[in-house]
Amino acid sequence: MEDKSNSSISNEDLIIQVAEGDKVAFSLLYDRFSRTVYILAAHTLGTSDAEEALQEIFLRLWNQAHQYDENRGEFKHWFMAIARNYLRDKLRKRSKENQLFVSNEIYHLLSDIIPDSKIPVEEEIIGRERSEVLLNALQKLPDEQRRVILLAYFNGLSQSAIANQLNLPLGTVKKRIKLGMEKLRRSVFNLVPQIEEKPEQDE
Amino acid sequence: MNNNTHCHQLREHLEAYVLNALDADTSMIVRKHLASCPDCQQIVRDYESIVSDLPDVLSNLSPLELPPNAKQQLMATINQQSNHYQSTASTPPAAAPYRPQPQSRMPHNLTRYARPVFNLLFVISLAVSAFLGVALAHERNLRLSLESNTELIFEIVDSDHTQRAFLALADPSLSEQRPYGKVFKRDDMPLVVAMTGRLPQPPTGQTYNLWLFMDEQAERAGEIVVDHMGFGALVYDAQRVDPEFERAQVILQSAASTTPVGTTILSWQAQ
Repeated sequence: MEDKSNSSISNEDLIIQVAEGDKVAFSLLYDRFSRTVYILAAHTLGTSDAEEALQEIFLRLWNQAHQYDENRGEFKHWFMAIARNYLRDKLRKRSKENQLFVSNEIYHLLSDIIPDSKIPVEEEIIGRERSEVLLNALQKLPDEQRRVILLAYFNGLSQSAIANQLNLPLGTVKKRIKLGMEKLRRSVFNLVPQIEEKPEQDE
Repeated sequence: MNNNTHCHQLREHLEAYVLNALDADTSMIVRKHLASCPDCQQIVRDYESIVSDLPDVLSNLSPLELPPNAKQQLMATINQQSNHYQSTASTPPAAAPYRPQPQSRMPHNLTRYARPVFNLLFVISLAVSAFLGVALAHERNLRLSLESNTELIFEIVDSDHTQRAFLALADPSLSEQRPYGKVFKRDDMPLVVAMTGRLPQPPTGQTYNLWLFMDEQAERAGEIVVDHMGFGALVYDAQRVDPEFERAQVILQSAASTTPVGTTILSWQAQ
């Protein structure tokens, strides 16, 4: 995430100021996160509803700023949860076909670019932005693991709802989420991979 | 079950927890465990930093651009809101997080076939209440969607101010299904949250109502609509901070009931 201004002030410090009614601090947070939220909304609800969603999500941020508790995690995760909850509620009011379209679109957008797999792991992590490392890790996941993670995150579906949508056993969905997330964690944090990773045998 | 076994079992859920893909009860259990397990907290923090970057990944790939006037419009709305609160000497927006939801919000997880039935029952209950002379202004039931108020519900069920009561099974005929419930409140808020699990679908014409009792006065908190898994939730505005009650019951009764008469399914009594 690129900080457009006053990059030395943390998001956590800014939200504390926003809770006290500081509009400048709010403006800085808007500058930092607005494009991400707008793109998320656009790919979830469509561009015609994305601007309204952007407004509503940031209004929620303004009105709920005092609810942020730094002991419970980073601001970014908390704020993205606000955004996701709003979008999930909107998405659930739409038809199943529309929801499937959204998940397919995001899935393909995050799957189609071929990463440069010739770069050694160490060089992939050093000097690359976090999001690029994550994208690389995401694209290396087996399709079925990436799919369920994206359905959970971008469509706001529970494990049982995913199982229902994909017509899979619940246990299969649980296992795919767990294995996929573990692989992402190992890739992003450069953890030692499990020895002798077995091919997924969850069906 | 010792603590290590419990922790090991809960670790299986951390990934889904961070993705918000767990059912509410399991999520609550994980959250409670995290409050006292530094190892699991670290794992969750790692996962949270990953998933919170997913929107950035999407943003970096997307060709879309931010609308040019969006910020201007937002700040105008914020200024309008601030000016309104200042001119009416009301609590500023940042200090007034809890607002009763419109009663037109639909309860959680109604199927498409239950929604018109619920609307009809609601209309009938209003008509019967008026006929019986019950003032509608006293109806304080908040029919809230669990999904649209997740943050609010978490604020009530998971804080240092939270008090909780376990609703035990009172109807032995349901011992095989083992339904259960919990009631939450905070000592600094007027809201009460009730959650149930494994409740069977009520017979046609009947609903599960939550009743709260204090000094033998009964207060109907509202209807708990359950989904196909028997899970239901209700947020009730008791209109007084730290509402006291000595008994809570989930009663299966006629949809139009205005008194706590029916089959008590779940119950809690103060010691």
